[in-house]
Amino acid sequence: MTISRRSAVLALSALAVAAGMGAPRPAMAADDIPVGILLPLSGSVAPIGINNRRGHELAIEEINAAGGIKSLGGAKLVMVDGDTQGNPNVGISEVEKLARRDVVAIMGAYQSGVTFPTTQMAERLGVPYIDPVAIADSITEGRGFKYTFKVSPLASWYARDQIRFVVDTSTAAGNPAKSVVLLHEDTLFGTSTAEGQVKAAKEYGLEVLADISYPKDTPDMTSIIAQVKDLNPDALLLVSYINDAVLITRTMKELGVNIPIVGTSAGHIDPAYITNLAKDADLTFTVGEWNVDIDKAGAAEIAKRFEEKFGVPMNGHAAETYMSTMVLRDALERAGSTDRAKLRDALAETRICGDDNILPYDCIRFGESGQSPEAQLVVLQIVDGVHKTVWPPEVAATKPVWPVPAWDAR
Amino acid sequence: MSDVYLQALISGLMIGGVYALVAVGLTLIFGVMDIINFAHGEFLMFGMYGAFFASALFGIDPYLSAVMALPLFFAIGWAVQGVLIRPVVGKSHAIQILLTLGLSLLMQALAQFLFSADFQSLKVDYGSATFDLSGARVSYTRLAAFAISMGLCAALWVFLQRTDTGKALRACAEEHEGAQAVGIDIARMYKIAFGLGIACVAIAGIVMTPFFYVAPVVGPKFTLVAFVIVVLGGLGNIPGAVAGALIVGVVESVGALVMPSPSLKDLAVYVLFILVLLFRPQGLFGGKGA
Repeated sequence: MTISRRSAVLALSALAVAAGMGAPRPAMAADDIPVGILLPLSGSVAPIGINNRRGHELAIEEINAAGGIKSLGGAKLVMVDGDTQGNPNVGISEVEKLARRDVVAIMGAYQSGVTFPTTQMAERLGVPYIDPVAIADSITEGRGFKYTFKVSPLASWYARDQIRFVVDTSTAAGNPAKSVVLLHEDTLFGTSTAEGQVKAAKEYGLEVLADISYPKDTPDMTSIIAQVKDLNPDALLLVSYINDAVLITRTMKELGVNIPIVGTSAGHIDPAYITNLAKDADLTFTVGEWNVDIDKAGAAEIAKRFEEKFGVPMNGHAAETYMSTMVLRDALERAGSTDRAKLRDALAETRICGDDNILPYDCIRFGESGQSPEAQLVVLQIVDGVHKTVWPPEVAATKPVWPVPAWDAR
Repeated sequence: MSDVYLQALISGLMIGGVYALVAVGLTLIFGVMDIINFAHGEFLMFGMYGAFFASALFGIDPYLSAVMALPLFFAIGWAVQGVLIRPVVGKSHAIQILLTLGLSLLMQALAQFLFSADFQSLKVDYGSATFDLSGARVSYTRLAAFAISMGLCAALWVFLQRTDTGKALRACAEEHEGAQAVGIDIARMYKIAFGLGIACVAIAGIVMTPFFYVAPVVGPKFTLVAFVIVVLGGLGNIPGAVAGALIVGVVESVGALVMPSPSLKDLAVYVLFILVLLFRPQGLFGGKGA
């Protein structure tokens, strides 16, 4: 009896260890440069975290293949993963772990709610932290941090461009929108964007019929969507990660809610949105950081390499993580040193412009607060299972479908 | 506006039916064996993955998978009880909790390792079909989930009341030593109870696959809801679990409308939970063996 219990416990522990092992540590040569990648690689946001990581992976592969960091004797970059599990507390301890592993910088953490406290820990430890994707204004504004460098646009800009898009497009279609409903998840990402949306709606004259905050990863959205149907706004502005985005769209179809869906990147820009909804994903709008059809030199080629390597199309997240890695490479070249303080100074002087920058604006550089001042957004619509750029008109690849036909008319 | 409340009531009842099947499995296991199964939700999750792969690889309809799952997961529950749970029956609750909690973590990690963290959706052609019920839209798949879950709960109830094995199970739940004294094979009863509990929760997962996503992390939420329901209904009380589940489903759904923000809808459920614990700790419908 005792023996069988002990062997059961041993067997369980062995299995647990094996299952928990994850990716083996990369073997590093003496002069390799470890780079910390802080992302949710498990948990409910994992699909998006794993997709974010791809941009880093592709960039580092290209950098190493082209000879590594020349000013450091051709030293190669090595990714050191820190899995936040989508949880801020785990993220903070991963930052400490990465710092002890002597990473030259940290890039992450995708979620605003995780990026906010982890940048604080990095600031305390003096580790340069590049934020490629997380958008909350509070990550850079008003903090006086010296080690945080934010490539992504501000949440308030997402909100502003989302509202501008709704007003522009509905006016061009002959029936200007008058009201919106805000539906957002309840962590920092959702709440910070909603604040921006309320402000922008006021500025552009749209009435906010309701500002609804829902619990992330909720299994059933029926009553909330029924409420939205009842309110009948001209557009539904969503701020959701992937599970919620898919569930909301499904529920809208089930309940016959025929209101244009305008997402805020995250779940709505992730390839998993399309693979999970198939045809039902079509005609969803989302604010985006980048798209494959953007008119920028080199963008299409990099997108092709990405798709060949990973089997999924490249999206705005991956473009941001890719360019952030290039920012790091550029700073390392100029610093000529892996000293964190020197790297920080080099990062502050970043200017990557024109054709070197595949994101839809001229230069990636950093202002006083660490925010990239020129960062700009586009709006995409899913047409036949592919994201297409539809706004602003200057960079649009195609015209938006607005008004959006009812579910049973598709 | 009353349309919206009707919709909330109906969708709350629908999901409550599925919660009932999950909770009934948990309360059966607790009633007969005194084991708190923290890994309950993970069996639900594996049931879902089973149905997902059956559909994706072999084109098997999830409702057919649900039928096949009954003997399959009964056998799995039987085996898990014999190998892992049996050694801790009768030991301190702390040891039991550690074991089932550890099992839960192991199963989640295993699922992530085998199936990746990506969440999946099972697509069926009839997936979004709905019909109208006095102004509320009801989806056929949710109605089917409700009907199947409640049907299984009823079948389990009849089994426990009318068959010899069922009576033996109830005897174990009420009085372990007495049951042994009259010659009931306790070890076998435990395996049957666990097997039935696991079969129930796996089927609950499978009937949700047409409308709910499949991912390694879906389990804990259902385990937690099941615990609340089981306490609400009275530990070991099956009709209590069913009633409790319907109540929780509706409170959650209507709570989303009534609370100042839908983020607080779970709060409504937990406040109810705490009130019951304070004023009627034996549960709304009384204790074991009922």
